[in-house]
Amino acid sequence: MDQKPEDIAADLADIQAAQKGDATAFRRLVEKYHSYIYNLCRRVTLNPQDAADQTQETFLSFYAHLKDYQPGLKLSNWLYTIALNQCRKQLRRKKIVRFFSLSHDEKLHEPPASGSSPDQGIRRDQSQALLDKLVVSLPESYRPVFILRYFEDRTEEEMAQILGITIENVRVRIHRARRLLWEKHGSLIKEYL
Amino acid sequence: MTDLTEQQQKSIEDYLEGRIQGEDLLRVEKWLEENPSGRDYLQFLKKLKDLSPSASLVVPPAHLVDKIMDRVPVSRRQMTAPFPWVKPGLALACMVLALFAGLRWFHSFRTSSLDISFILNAPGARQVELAGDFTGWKKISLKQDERRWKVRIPVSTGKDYQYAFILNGRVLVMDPANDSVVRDKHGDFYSVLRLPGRQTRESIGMKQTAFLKPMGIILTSFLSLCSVSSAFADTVVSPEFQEKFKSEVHEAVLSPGEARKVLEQANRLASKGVPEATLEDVLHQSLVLGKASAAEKALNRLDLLVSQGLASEDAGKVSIKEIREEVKAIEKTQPEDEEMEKSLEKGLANLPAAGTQALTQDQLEKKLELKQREWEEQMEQEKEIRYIQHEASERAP
Repeated sequence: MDQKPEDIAADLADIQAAQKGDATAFRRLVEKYHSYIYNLCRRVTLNPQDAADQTQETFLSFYAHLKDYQPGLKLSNWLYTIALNQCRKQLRRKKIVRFFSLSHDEKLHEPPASGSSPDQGIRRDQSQALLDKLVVSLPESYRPVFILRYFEDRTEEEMAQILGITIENVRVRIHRARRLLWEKHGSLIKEYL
Repeated sequence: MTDLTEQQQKSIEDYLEGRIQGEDLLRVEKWLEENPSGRDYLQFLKKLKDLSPSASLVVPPAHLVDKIMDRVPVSRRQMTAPFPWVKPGLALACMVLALFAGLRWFHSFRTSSLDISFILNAPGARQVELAGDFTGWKKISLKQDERRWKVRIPVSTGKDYQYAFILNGRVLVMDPANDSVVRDKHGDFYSVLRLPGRQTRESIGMKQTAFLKPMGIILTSFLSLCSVSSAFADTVVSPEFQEKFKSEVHEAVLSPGEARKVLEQANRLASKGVPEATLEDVLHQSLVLGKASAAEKALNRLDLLVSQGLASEDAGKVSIKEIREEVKAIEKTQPEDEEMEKSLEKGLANLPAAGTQALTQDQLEKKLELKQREWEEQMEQEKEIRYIQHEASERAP
């Protein structure tokens, strides 16, 4: 993860400016964080178009509730919380649509195609492909915790904060995600070794 | 891949995360050496950890930032709520309106008055009047409509009212369609109209429908007639007899209580072996006179004669004869204006015996005056009580 340590003071100044209607300050925040949010959304929704949409929704929601931001928190974690909620909403909506539509939307369960998506030009190595595969096989409830742990490298405390659950709950969820992967893809990872 | 228990997996995870220390650490390490599947799981976890740093960021689609900034309403932000008091103001106005509407609705139940129709079936009467608490015991004339005499007046709810009909200006009579009766302190019977306050119109047997509302008393009298049929629940007599009896009762306009009494007596006689035909004869003859007391008397006489050993058919004839003679004797003892007597007899034919009193004009006027004074006294008392209650509530903190 090539994330630099966050400049909490600078972020806070920008948020306060944005609250007073300073568009450039808000734009700075969007530019700084949008790619992280986009990647998170892409991994949760498994769909580049949904990811772009949910990134937009995340920042809109963030803007609408600027005054709710608690200054002590890392802004990225704050945004992750919003993004994960937005993605969950989107997945639920899709589930309903899928339930009522006659044709089963198989594409949803496929990892993003490397050729046609905006991910073009980035060479994805074997391990990246493997990780994507693992994420896809996880149920939606365990996906966020797994992504935060293995892609975003968050501590258990941070995960608990982002997801709004206890640390014990975080541990249980990670354990269940690992257990599922071990049962499903244990041999695959062994081969990779 | 599933030969590890959940607890073992958790221990391995804790071992990898460095959450196990001291003796436990040694024990887990020893266990891992002995168990290849445990080692496999540890390897798997390590690999997962190794994979993560290699995950690189995917470049988001171009112009995503611009798209976001286009949708953020920065310039309009200050305009979203120009009049912050508008919303609470509207809510308050709605609440006040709702409160008023609710109070009006509630009030309509508390102090409303109902239009009540008073109906008397007295085809032979020359004049029918109504007097009661709700008129201050002043007489109100009823209008004749073929066989029936009718009047419709508004009566405010929340009280019980005594009332009676006055036939030909000098016969005080209870409402035959009304089952609730009171006997006042002078020993006279009056019908009671119960109009509870704070209650819906359904509670006094009236539908709230505009069409049914004026039918008030008609409906209640119908209901009281219906309740006669419930008196047949445990009877010995045959259904045919019951049907005939019902129509007799209907014609004689007995109150449900009287009908029940007569039927019980008939039942008792039937169980003693008196044939139904005899009972029918006796009842028919005595009920034609329109008096429950006559029927009761006839049946009592029949009972006595049968128990004295007379054949039931003969006993029936004797009792009918006796009852006729008796009624004639009563009629002879009150010789008055002949024409009036005739019309009275016709009018009274449909009325219950109890609570019907033939009086002179003076007696009637005195009675009404007495009732009027009593009612006024009662109202005065209620006023006083209300005043005391009001004072008490004012004194309370």
